[in-house]
Amino acid sequence: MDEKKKLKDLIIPLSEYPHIPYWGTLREAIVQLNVAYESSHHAVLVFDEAYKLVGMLFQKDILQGLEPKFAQHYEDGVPIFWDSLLKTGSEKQLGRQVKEFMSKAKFTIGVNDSILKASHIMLQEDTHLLPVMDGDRLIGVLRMSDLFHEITKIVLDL
Amino acid sequence: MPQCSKCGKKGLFLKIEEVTSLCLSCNEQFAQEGKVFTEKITSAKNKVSIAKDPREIAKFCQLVENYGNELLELHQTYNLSPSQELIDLIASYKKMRVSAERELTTGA
Repeated sequence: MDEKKKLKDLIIPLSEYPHIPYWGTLREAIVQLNVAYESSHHAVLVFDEAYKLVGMLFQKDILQGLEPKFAQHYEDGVPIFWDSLLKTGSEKQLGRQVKEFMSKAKFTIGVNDSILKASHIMLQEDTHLLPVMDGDRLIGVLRMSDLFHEITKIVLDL
Repeated sequence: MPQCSKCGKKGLFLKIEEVTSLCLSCNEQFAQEGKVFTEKITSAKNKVSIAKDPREIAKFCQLVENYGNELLELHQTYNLSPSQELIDLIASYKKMRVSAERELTTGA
């Protein structure tokens, strides 16, 4: 039987993800995400001028950024076709800075914490990616998809 | 009395940025200079991710290292400690460059 992985075995180095400065545009972030799509990375890491991680931009953040403002008022869906507005309305949105849409890197997990704790934080904070700290040192990120794989493996083994 | 760790300016009502311990003017100057390097680093880094040829990979990795080191020097100029993210990034891309260069010389 495979030995169960620990949290530290699931850490992905920051350098594997696409990076963007917080003043980068949504358009630039989309280009980076499309490049990274094949490597199953669905987020762009956002850095400040001192190259410190300040946030993460997920596909949902980008879609939120592209959604026409009026759509927020319709809980049951947008009554007119959105695709007709993509070319006109989104052009302006694409030039907006990612800092307006990114999820701030507020929550972290310790390298020696358990996989279940990481899963709990992700669920509580509604995030798919969690920065991993070794003391004060940021050593990488943890993906929900990897956690899912490990947790379900344990459950099925029972 | 609050004092800027870069220019040494001090004053009872001098506003100091909590994170950097710099006065607003030095902090802004650091941010402007840092932005240039950060932009160059991310651009070179993202070029590495689409490069296929080891020669290109080595070239862009070298750029990440160079700009990263320049940003490190900028930190020193402003008496700031660099982020671990920056240090790790430089180390990762150095490793990647060495590996690409090895591939070039051995033809592997």
